[in-house]
Amino acid sequence: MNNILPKKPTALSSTATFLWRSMLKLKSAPEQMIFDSVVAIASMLLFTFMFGGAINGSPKEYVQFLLPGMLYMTVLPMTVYAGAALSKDISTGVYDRFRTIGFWQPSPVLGVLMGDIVKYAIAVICVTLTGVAIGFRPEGGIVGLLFGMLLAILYAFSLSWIFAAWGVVAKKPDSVAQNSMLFLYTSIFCSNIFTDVATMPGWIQTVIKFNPTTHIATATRLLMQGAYLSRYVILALIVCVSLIILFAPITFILYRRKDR
Amino acid sequence: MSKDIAVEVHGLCKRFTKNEVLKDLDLVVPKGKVFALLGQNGAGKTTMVKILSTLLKFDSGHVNVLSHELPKEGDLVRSKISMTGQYVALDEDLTGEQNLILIARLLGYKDVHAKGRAKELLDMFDLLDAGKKTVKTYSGGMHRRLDVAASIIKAPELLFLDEPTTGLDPRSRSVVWGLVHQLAKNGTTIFLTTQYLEEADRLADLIAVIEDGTIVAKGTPTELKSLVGRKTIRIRFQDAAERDNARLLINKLFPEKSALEHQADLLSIEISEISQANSILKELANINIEPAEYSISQASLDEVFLTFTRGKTNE
Repeated sequence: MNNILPKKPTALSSTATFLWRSMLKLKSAPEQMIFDSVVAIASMLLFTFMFGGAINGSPKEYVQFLLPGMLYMTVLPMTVYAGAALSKDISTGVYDRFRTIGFWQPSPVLGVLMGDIVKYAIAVICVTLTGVAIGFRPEGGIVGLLFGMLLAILYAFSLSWIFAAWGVVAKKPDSVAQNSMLFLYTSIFCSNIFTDVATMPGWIQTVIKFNPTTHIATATRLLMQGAYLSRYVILALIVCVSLIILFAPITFILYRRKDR
Repeated sequence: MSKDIAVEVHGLCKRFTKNEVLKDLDLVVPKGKVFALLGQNGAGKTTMVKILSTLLKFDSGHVNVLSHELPKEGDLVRSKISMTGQYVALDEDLTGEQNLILIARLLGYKDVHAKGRAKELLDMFDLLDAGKKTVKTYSGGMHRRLDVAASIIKAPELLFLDEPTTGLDPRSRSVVWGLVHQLAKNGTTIFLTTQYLEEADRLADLIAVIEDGTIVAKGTPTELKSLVGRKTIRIRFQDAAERDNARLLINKLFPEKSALEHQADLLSIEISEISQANSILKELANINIEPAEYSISQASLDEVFLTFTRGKTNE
């Protein structure tokens, strides 16, 4: 037997270990990430060139409006992965092993969710580069662009906590991905991601204003235009932080208390 | 609580909604032994292990593991135990080596040591080549070996093995048995559950039979067998004529014993003590009958098991 008796790892080090695990998984099974990136690039091209002329007169004009929204079209469906991954851990025996080791128990959850930030970032970069390649030129320049991208990643991260909590209580990993699609696609299409709300009938405008994604998309546009301190931006940050403050502790508690 | 006791349980009750799984259960397991909890499917074995390894809360009773009271001192218990569950507790998407490094790091090994320890264990469990492949591709036996390896990265004081050989082929099973022996020799207390009598007989110093949520019998394998009390001497004779003479004699000497005939040249006599077998052989020698061969056997654990769980096998 080995003589080096280890000490309990710090919260930081056990979380880093779980982040390392997420990265290993991304590296050993990159299919989903490749697929998501291809879809991101393809839909950016499709939406711009198919609808650009009809919606905004020309693809080049439409892409100025579309790109910030397109980030969400790409990144929001990815927010269920974390919940599905947690659910998969729980449904196999790994979860039991993790729980009989005395490390800081929120680490596995944090590791999975932080690992997904990398995936959001890759998708967001794919969309943005495609957009810039076909003529997207934000007034805020590179700084505005970067802030907009960061907000998209932050919002995806915040939203993923809802599915993380859901994933912990779900019976099967598949059910998390399937049942969340209705919610996510409503949130995507019932918003101002693709077109200006002003062109729509009044009742649907009311509905759309209740969708936080609408305000986040608006904030992203403003950021990319260089309006860093608009009230939309502040509102967007409040939404993100509230989601995390509300759902992160719920997820930790549910995860800790889970009796399989 | 004494320092030599690994697990002490009094009046433990656990119910799942309507189903009462453990009923007022008492159990004491001393340190440094291999203990087997023997029972059929649904008897409460897994529930018991999950409670002792802090994975499951219980409703009432006292549970003490390695001198720590549960659930209050769960953290302390967790730092001293290790558990191999019935479900394979590995990450299927990672390689065998990555799995071990992962657990080693979570136990607090620094990078280099984690890697070294993983290598050491892969070698010990004959998995060096397989270590570079993803666990998804492993056979049942390899899964189980890696699983046990992961459980002893940091040598635990008490190791729980929940049905360690269920679903394994005979070869992998004997590999796992060898591992249990080896760990026990190094001083680890082992608490295993099994539905195989042979396994309990081969591995355990102490056995408790669990049935319907309570312990119905406990003791060493030998004690349990003698509880059922059936010892038998089987004598094979040179020919049928000698056997008939022998039977007459035995019936005269021990009128209460029935000498059963299995085959033409065989007698099988139930005895209560080994000394009776000696006197039977002596008497036979007195009338110049020399058995071709003889054997004395104890009741098998199967009989023990059936005696204590009789009538409940067809649930």
